[in-house]
Amino acid sequence: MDELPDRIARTQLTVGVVAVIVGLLGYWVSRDAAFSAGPGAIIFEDVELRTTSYNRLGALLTIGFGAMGIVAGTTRMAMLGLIGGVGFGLLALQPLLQWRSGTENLLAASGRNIGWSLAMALGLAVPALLARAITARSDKIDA
Amino acid sequence: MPRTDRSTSSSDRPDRPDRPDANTRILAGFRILLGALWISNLGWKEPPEFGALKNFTSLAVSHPVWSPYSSLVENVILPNFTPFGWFTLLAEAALGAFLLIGLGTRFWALVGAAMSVAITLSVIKAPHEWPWAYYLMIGAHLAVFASAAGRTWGLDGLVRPVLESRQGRVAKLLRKAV
Repeated sequence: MDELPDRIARTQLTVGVVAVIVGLLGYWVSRDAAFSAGPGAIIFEDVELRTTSYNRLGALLTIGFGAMGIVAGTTRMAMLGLIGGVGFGLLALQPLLQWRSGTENLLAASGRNIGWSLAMALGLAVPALLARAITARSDKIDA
Repeated sequence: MPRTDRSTSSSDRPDRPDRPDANTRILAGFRILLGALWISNLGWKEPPEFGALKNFTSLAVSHPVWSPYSSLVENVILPNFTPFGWFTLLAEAALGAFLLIGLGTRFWALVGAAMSVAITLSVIKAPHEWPWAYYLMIGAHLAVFASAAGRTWGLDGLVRPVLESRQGRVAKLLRKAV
């Protein structure tokens, strides 16, 4: 069976690839929308799938944070995935904070983006925290 | 007879015993689909008014299914709808996210089953509703709970070995959730 560090790296790589693909789709569908304002464009809206909503800024941030997952997975720098995970966590918070304050939706995100971004945040951050816990435990045993 | 591990790690490939078999992959895909279902339905539950959600919830009063639940909606939920709307938005976002990524899957599957029951009690007597859709939602979450579907293609597969190496009540409790 694969060792846990291998699986952690593979998980971050997979989550990163999925996030980048969704970000690229988001950029493609929002190419004619405003760069950093609403309303955004919804991926797969034509086929009634009703998925996440993006403007180009939201899509670029998704690609950037997803790319951190890819780099974390390929270089085994798991903590880089934690930065990507925190980024996605902020993307999940953004529509909540802007609804609460009544300000313009800077990333054209919908309620669906909250669930999606939270999933990506967990998918990048939890493996990074596991990697840190394993390293700390090994160091303790070695000492 | 030895107890069968529900970790969905059985294989139909003797050359790669660590690889999940087709059945467990299907169940993992089913879990991802359920997560996507909840996330997809967040689009019409948005503040500040939560208007569509309020109309939907009101069906429990206009087309009552079970009178105690109808009374709860009429006297407690509808008069305090804004906090209820925020709770619904956040709970369903978390439910969709955790099922999609497969973390704490068994716990969240039970939460999903409970929320499906609440939706069932709100809407199955309303016009143009298909009650079997909601019965199937309850059953789908219970199937994901029973099969611990987060251990394949999910974070539970990473978290569980770490939890198994830990002692204590918290680790024991968390092991039941994954």
